[in-house]
Amino acid sequence: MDARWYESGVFVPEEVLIERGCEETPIARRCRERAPDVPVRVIDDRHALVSQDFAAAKRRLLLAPRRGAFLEHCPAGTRGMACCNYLVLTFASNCPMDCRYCFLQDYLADAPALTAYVNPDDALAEVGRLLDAHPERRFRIGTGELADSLALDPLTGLSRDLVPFFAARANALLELKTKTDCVDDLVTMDPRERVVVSWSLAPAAAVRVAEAGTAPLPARFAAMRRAADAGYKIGIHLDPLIEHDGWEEGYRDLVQAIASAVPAERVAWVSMGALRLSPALRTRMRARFPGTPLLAGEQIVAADGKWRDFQPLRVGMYRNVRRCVEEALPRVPLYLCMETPDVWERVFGTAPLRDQELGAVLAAR
Amino acid sequence: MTRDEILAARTAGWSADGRAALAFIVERLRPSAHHLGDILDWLDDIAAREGAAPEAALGDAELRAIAAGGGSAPERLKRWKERLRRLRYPRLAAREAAVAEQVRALACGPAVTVTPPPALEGGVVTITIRARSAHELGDAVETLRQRLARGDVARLFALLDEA
Repeated sequence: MDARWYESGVFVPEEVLIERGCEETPIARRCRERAPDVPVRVIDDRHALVSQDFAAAKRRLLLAPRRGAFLEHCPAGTRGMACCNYLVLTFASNCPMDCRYCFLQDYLADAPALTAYVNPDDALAEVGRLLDAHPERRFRIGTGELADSLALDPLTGLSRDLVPFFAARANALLELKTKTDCVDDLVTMDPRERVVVSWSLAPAAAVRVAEAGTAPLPARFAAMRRAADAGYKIGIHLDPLIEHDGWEEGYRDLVQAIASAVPAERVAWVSMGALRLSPALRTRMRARFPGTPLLAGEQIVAADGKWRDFQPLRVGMYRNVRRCVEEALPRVPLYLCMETPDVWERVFGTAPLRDQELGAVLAAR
Repeated sequence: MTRDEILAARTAGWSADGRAALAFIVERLRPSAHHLGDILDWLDDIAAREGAAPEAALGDAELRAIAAGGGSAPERLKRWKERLRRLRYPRLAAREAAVAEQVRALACGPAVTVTPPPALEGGVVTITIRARSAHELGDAVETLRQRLARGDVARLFALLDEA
């Protein structure tokens, strides 16, 4: 899978399944046009699909409507964690990449296919109702929770629906979060300062052991540059921070490379987050990737039941990386994802802003 | 899963010597399925970190001595797992030991109990004062005030801050 991804720069599924009735939706039409050599099968009931192994399911693309709500509150703000008041918008479920630490391994363990939803108009109508109901509020909305925001874009062209919608909205900022370099469609549009394209980044040594199938760092930096030049704001997620041999130099060099790729004034925010693994995810990782060094760190159970590096260790990492970020990207807002107020205070010297305030600060970027 | 099922599933790729070494441990320490799961996880984690076989850590002299030594099986298991935990979490264990040493150094007497956070998570130290009178309470508070003044308490909190 990895080789095909890199060769073409585009995810090419082994098979496309289209739920009957969705064959002529814009998403399905674009997929067929953009991947004409991929076999297409129309199915009557997605629930009849047999669950395969997790990696195999990633290579099978299902196009079907989403029937539930598209918008949800980000799950990060739970159980005593400081929250940035973020909304997640779901257009797809699962991801062609296979990061060793990804929670989808457990969350979607039995999913039979990577699913792209063919009814984005319903999603945008839902967003529109929310934005219209609260014109006084500024929302941050991201699509990268259950899927990489751009991995399927070369096939679905979804960004062509999203960017103009958000570009026309004054009280929302869309965040597209990715580990790819798939910005070809994006750079043809004017986001009018309403869209942030964010990259999740780690030093090359960590990418090698932990982020299978993701775009190489130079490709991500090149895409970052193209997006910035096209008028997009850039977000950076140093999340998860991965402790490895030479991590201090690795993160210092990474942050300097980011600063070289884009001017600080185009960077909307930088976040940091610890590697965090639920017990069930650890069990999955142990089964799928025996011997992965990600499980060999000094992780213990934190307040929310997830395993993290023990607190003094991760506070040290956060402080170290914070210094690098503040030096290379001065005045760019920096925040922690899924951390306790106590850790936040140790890292920044002040208590975290309340949810609404932090969200508003970031949404105003 | 039963203990035998866990052993069969998790040690299939081990060497015969490694399986024999673990069988000895299981026979001597009688771990429950839950404890056995912890033990195998930690052996795997140590192996991943050291680039060694999972059974390699079983060769640790202290682990072998505890398993072969006296005492009841539960008591041996407790000490054996503590040693294995120190091998699995060397930095955390070292920091916990330093914290425990600093708590001892406070020497606040029997009326004051200083409890660091479990696994150093959360950064909050719980201090309990037991007193039967205003006088005893005053003594305990004064002791704590002295420890604060000479920097002992600050040293304890510093150990909880950053590694």
